[in-house]
Amino acid sequence: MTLKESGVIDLLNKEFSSVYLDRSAGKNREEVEEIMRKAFVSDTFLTSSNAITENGELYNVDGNGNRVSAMIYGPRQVIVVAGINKIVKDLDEARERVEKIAAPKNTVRLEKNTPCAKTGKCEHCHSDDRICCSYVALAQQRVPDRIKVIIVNESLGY
Amino acid sequence: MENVNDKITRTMENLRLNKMKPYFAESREQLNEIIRKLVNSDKLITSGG
Repeated sequence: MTLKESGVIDLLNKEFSSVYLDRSAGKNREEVEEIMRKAFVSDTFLTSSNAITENGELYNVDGNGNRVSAMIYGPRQVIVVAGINKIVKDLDEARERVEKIAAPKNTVRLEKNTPCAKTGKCEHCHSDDRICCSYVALAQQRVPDRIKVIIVNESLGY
Repeated sequence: MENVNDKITRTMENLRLNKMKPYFAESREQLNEIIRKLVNSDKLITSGG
């Protein structure tokens, strides 16, 4: 959402089309999954974050797990793009942000049939459509500067 | 009420302590410039999330 909204996806498609593998180019589920696997050996994986704590942690909730996996290990570098609306005090506030803002809005966007899509807050469901399957907090990194975080001075994404 | 700039500065300082490299983009143009520099010599770029 943030990458699209901020124009990053357009930039990649326009100026780096020869080396950018856009998963939306996948024609079916198998192709999309193959592109997601290629992310693990890419030079750069671009993504966003559900929340960034003032303690310098990245907090993310993921459905397939491909995003958080690639953030943890694989790509040579990870570039995280986030609006200032993603900054929260601590991990408790990050979890609250995901449960009350990010997940419900994303389920609506992705047309998922989950309780939170209807109520606007996490109902701790067991729906097959649930998008919050993995909760990951990234703290101090083993490889310095592998993860770059670009904070953009505007509100972006959920 | 705390200044938002103080919040951003503290977040960036702590990202640095956690061995992540923080950048700040005032605008989308600056964001694009930072990304261009970071991926300039890449042979494979992907995205997700």
